[in-house]
Amino acid sequence: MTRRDPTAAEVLGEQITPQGWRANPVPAPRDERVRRSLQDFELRFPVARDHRQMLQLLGSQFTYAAPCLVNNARECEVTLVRFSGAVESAFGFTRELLFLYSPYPDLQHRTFVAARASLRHLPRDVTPDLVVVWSKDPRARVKLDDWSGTEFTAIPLPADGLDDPLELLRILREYVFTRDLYYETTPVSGDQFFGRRPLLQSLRTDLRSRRVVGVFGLRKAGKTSVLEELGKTMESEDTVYLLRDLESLPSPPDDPIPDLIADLRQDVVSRMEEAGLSARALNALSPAPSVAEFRRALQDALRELAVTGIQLVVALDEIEYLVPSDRIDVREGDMPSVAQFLGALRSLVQENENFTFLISGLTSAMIESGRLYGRPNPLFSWAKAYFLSPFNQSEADDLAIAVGQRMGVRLDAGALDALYEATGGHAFLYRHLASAVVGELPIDVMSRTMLRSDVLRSLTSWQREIAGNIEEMVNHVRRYYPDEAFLLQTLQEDPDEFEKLARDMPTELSHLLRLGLVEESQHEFALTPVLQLL
Amino acid sequence: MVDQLVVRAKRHRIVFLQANPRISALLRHEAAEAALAQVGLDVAEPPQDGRIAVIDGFDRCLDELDPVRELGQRRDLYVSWLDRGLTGLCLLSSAPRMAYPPCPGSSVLDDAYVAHLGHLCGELYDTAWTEPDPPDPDELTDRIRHLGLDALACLDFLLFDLRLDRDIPLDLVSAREWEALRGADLVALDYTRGTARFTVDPLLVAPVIEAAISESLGVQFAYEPVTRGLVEIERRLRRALRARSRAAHGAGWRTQSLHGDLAGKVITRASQELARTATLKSLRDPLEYLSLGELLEVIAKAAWADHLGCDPDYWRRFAQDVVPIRNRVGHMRLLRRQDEERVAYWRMSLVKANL
Repeated sequence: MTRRDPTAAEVLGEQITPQGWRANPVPAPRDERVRRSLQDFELRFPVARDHRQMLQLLGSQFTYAAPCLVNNARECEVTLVRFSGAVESAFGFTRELLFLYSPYPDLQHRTFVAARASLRHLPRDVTPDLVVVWSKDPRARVKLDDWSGTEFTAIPLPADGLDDPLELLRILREYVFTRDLYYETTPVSGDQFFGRRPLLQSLRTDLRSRRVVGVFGLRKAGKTSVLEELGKTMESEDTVYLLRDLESLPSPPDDPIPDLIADLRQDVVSRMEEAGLSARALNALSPAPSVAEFRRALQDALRELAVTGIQLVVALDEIEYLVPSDRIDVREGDMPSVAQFLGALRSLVQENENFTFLISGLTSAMIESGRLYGRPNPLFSWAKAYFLSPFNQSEADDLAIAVGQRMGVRLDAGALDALYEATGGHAFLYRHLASAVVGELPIDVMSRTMLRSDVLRSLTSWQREIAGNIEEMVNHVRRYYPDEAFLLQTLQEDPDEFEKLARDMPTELSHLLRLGLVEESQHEFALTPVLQLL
Repeated sequence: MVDQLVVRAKRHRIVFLQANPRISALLRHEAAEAALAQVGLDVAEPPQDGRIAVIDGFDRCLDELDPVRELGQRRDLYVSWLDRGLTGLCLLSSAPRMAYPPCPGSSVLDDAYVAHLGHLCGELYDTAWTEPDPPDPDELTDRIRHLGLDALACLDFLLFDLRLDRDIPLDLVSAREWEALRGADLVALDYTRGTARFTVDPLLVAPVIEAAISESLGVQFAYEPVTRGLVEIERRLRRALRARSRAAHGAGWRTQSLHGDLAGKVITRASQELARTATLKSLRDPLEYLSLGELLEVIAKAAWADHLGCDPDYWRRFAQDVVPIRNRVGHMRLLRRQDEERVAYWRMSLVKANL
């Protein structure tokens, strides 16, 4: 049978019939063990027989059943449901959905926690952020609504069974369509990570060749997400990837290096001990080692790792916490330990076949400035710089389509263009605008489509909402890229003068282009859409 | 309101809510207790019962010795709470976001979604609001002092410099400043008309602002970069003038550079400062006794200065932008939000003009 999308009437929420949702049905399980476990499950939870029949009317099936393996919820039963092609298409499901059945009369928070934890005990990957919960508790719905968030949503089934198959779809619609998966303000990885494939590949290649790299980009451009995703794809039996965010270090003029050394030492020791190594030299360090002592101990640790063929990659994120250029003179300020520490890392890279590091932040001055705190900068002209530009339209489209699908939202080409035009592909702004638009879409239909007009209708209020954030992003550029900020302002006030200045400031112009603040078209320069919002 | 706060926190994960009397009253409502777990800054573990965490008194971060580090550690902690299953959290702060020091990298304040009463109780609750009764004077004082010096500078500008209290064009003030004043429930914004108005009688607000500014001994974060920029700007101008004067007058540049009453002013100032009878010839650099305004006068009027090679209009714009900032710093008044940006711009502009 061919896959079929819901009809127009179904899209409008009218005259929906189970038949329409049966398209591309799932066959009943044939494996005898699965069939037996499903029978046992129905004996323990008779309501499940009714659910199975409703699912079958929708072309869908229970495909797995087993007792819950999570402590405090061992009386619960975990099952998986595979929906028909039509249902999967409308709700954006690409994997099975976990259904948890609780025998307890009072649904407790620990059962909700167990439902989430159960996802780790299944024989295969399933939808990671949604579960369906059946409980006898008449307050189950209120409780689950209270405990659920965007990251993880539990959908309650009525205690006394379903009236008809379409009721299940209405319940799914109520929960799936009201989620907002576009809005992300903290780093993302895994299913939530989009684009950047060539960048990730280049970073992996460089790090495996023991090159030191810097990843630079605007605030909220997705630097930390790239670092986390990089870690996920690099971490293996022969690679230890340590990501250290520097934001919790003391800020200069207090010296951040002793705290950083202590943290790194602890992280490396714990990872080595996990691998069954002694990390003797690091363990033997005094509580407040000097940079030189730390370097020697790490050298020993790297030799120990080399024997087992393990490579160590250290990623230092938010590097501005070591060089807050707005507060002290990075070139000549009095903080020799920072240059000393980076020098130590550099010499370790040079002396060991199994070590390298990566830095990330807003400003590339860290590797482009000849001097650092009164000393020659050890990273100058040595580390390789990557700039995190905004998404290109194809990456942005992928994000919008894939995330929209998980909320049952389709986007027409006009909507994709409008989202991109308004945000220039800046990751945070793009998600923020998509979130604002999806919040205005109707949820009482069985299929939702975002049109260009939906985006345009939301633009004005979104621009108001985001203005403060954009202002702060630009202020941040001013603090760390004063020359580039001057160029930007000149472009805003006197484009002819900009043309002249830009010729004398090629590095600064290159930064602006690579950061996605200025765009060039047919030898003409213009502010990107983000800045035009100011 | 509590329902909406929960919805926002679940949707956006981190919400920033600026405390004000109406917000506080709503959070005291019993419904709030059931849905929200109010936790202090010293709590290290998230609530385990599925409720939204409200970090009460988040502005106490500002009292820490190193508030930037404190904000970084808070971000670390709260993101870990969310990763461990907390469905959302709300940073409840008496101070607006602009009162916090800028963080070098990411900031939990920028991660947060800023909620206001319009979001939580409906737009009319926000835009049509006027305080029905005169606010309690102590409460109003507390509310205004929590705004921080940057927002106070904005109020000073609106109420005392421009004497505006209604139909204030929105583009007069930056988005972050409106966010602060709106968060404190002092103004209502009408986006349709593009204007703002005070929701509390300005006659009541003005004396409180006056007292808050007069009694404050604090220093704005921008003072350091602005002062540093102004020093460089003035020293660049003097260096350029000295070079031109030397080229024009040779060894006699000290006595021949100044025209009109400027020579007399320099002698008077130098004599007072050095406690001796000064002469132009005896001073290392007479130009160092001129104010910025006087330097600009020399640039504009002295033929030898020749506008330092720039268009006269350039100096008119420079004076318009920089002199008021120089005056604010000279009299240790509050800086305006865009002062840092303007000083940085003109400093770089002089560099590019080879001055």
